[in-house]
Amino acid sequence: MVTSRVWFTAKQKAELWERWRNGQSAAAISRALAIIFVLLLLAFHSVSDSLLIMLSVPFALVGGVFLQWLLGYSMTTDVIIGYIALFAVAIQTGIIMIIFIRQALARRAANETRMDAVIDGSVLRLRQSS
Amino acid sequence: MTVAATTLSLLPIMISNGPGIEIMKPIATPTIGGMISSTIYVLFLIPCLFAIGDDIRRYQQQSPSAARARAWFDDLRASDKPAAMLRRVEGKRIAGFLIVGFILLLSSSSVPLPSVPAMIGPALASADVFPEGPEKAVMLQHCETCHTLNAIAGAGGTEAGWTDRINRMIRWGSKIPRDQVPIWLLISQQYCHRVLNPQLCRVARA
Repeated sequence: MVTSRVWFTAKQKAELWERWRNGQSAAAISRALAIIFVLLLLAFHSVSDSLLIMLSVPFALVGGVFLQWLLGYSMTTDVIIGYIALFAVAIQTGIIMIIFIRQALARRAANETRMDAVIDGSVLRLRQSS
Repeated sequence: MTVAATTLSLLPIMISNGPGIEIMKPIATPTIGGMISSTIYVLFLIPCLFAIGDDIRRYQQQSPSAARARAWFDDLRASDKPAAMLRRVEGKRIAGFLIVGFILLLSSSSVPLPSVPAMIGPALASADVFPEGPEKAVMLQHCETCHTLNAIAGAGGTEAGWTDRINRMIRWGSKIPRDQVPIWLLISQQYCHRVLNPQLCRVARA
């Protein structure tokens, strides 16, 4: 119901401002991911390894969104901060895994296939006893 | 180990139910859920992807078509073609910079702008979430000096949590009269589905 000829009332302006701010914090996720990818490229010098590590982000997103839906939280700034923290930890575990497998590949014996080395590395990552 | 440490250290936030904990819960929620699913990826799928990459490499060494493609690529690298292309592009460097800058500008602009009716519609509707009455008048008078009513609607929470929040706001200088407690009951009743504990939900409704 339009009672005056103002384009936006003060309340609607506040609402739009809030939406814009939420959008900004959502864009922070993509910026954080871009920075993480560049850092991975600098550290590993390999696009395929970096992509493999970055692929843990959508998998982390699956669980995060599921639990958020289960508990019924809306997408507030707090939740977005939680997501950024989640990506950090997920990528960290991915990095550890890749490093273990790379080490196993580097010191594999001549009669060992690559597959054996990969299995060795990932088992070593799972229970670290050596 | 890393995953277990992270998840278990965040569990107390999820299971405890004191005042003020509602602020920590949204931060902990995606982290816990995501750790569990990303562990499955890291521990099981990364070795499998390595194995698949190994297969692809072996296929490239064996299959004739892949060998042909590699030979074509080597020829290209040996020939003068890429250098010539670079030389041709070099004159148009400024245009290239402009294009790249424009693409970066597009990609970094935070959100795709929705159409104006799509923005106004929810903004008009969201204030109607609270039923009309003296309580809404109080909220309009005191809460809206700092934030919109939609911020209250999106927050959710239990009665204890709301009392805590209101106390904090009063400490920060809000002029809300303390005897308007039914508002907080109204809030937790309206958003009962967001409350974790259904027991608290029933208390709020009574």
